[in-house]
Amino acid sequence: MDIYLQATVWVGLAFLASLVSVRLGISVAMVEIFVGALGGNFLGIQATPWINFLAGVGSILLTFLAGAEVDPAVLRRRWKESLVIGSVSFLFPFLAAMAYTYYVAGWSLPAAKIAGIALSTTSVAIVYAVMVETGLNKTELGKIILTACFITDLGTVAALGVLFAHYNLWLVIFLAALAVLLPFLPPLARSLFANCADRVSEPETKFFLLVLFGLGALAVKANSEAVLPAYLAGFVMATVFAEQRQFVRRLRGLSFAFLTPFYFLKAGMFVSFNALFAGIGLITVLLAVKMAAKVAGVWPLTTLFRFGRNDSAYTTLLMSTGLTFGTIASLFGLTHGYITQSQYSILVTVVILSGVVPTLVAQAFFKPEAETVEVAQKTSTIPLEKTFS
Amino acid sequence: MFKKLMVAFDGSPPSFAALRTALDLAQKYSATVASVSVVHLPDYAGTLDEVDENIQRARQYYEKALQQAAFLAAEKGVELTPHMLFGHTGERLVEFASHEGTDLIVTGARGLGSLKRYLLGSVSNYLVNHAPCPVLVIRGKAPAEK
Repeated sequence: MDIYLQATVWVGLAFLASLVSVRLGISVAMVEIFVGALGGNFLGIQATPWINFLAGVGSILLTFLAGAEVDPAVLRRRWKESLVIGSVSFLFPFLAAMAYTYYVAGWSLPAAKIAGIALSTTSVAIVYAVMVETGLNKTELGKIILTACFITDLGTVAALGVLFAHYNLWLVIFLAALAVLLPFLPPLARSLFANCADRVSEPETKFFLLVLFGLGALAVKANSEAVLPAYLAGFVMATVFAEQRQFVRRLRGLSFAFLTPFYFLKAGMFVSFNALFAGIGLITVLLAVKMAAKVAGVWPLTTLFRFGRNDSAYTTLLMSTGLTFGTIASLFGLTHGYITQSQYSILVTVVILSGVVPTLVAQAFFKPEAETVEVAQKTSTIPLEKTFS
Repeated sequence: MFKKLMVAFDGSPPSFAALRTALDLAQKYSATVASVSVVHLPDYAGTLDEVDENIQRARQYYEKALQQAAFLAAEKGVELTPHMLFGHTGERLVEFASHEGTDLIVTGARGLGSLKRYLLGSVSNYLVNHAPCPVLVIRGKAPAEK
């Protein structure tokens, strides 16, 4: 197929997904995955090298921007709770899903590792949206939960980057480059923003692409994953980006208009409906394993940190959600041949369901108690609230 | 009789009709009016930016609409307090009314056809069925405008 015809089909699907997302008020990522699945199963769309490249860059920028959304102040202030809850929230489902798929479902060890990583994630965005609705994002409890979610995702990308890496010289070079570059990234970026910002040629955008591509290249050489350095780079850039909202907006525009749609459409394209229906039992079990492992790990900790019974259940369920990083891990497994298309279809479906089911349960049965809601409603009222008379 | 009125306000012409009616009633009963605007955030968001963008967009939109609302309230000499909440419109409006002890909810009707009402959901219909207090649905222009 002609390259422009391919582009027309893919961008057409991305455009359609955007319209549906705006109309229905559902996340564009989720709609793109769904549209991609329809395209893959019924239109026969296929990925080409240039689509793979754009999708790859999309996932790198997505991860970079996700890492940059962490609140360093909260992380510094409440590092103990955030670190402990976030780490356990990663580790328990990772081990449980890996053990189940390896010992019970009979998957190979690399496939089981991918399953563990994909199902260990927590969707920061889903948690954040739910918290804004309840106003919890302004409370200390909400900030701890959000920061813990970043730690969980850090665990996910670290596992993805480390578990499949080749332990050779390239890995040493990659880690050395990370150790040298990351501390200098914020001052370098600050200097660039001070001297070259707001130019049509966007030198600062090119600078970050250079850093991400360079670190990504080293990561790939070590058979690691390019999203690991991207997430870490985003993490260290969080403070600078908080001061550069216009730049983040431009970078986000570039990513979401042209790059991430290719990533999410591609992620959906590989979902086989036949495999999905055939694996419906395993999908249900894996979803239960993920949620049960999160409950077993996070719930006792929230109790330990005196969250209160309802808040504990609410926090645990929110931390059971997943979306973007789960699909990144699954797609990594598929493209590197660690999992089959059937296993991929099962994992992505579980990841999507884990974005929906725990949220619904949390909202239906464990919404914060009256006192918390009262505070929440006050804080979620617009700042332009005033009395007119 | 009615001391605390609440208007479901989304800045649309039907919601302005509801606001005018509420202000009219508030003037008669010496009541206060809370205008409540609910912003729907994307379900199962993919990124934080997606959520923040909706909040920003809503803030810009409502700033303008609420200025007009404030002007109308000032004309009538009625106390109007605007609120912006996030979530599913019907649910949040009912929660607010319950929490604040609202005596009457005034809402506009978009006049959706049956298919659109099925697909998009009718806020006024939800309020009538779930609100903890009487609900006044204004179809067309506000009585005061006629």
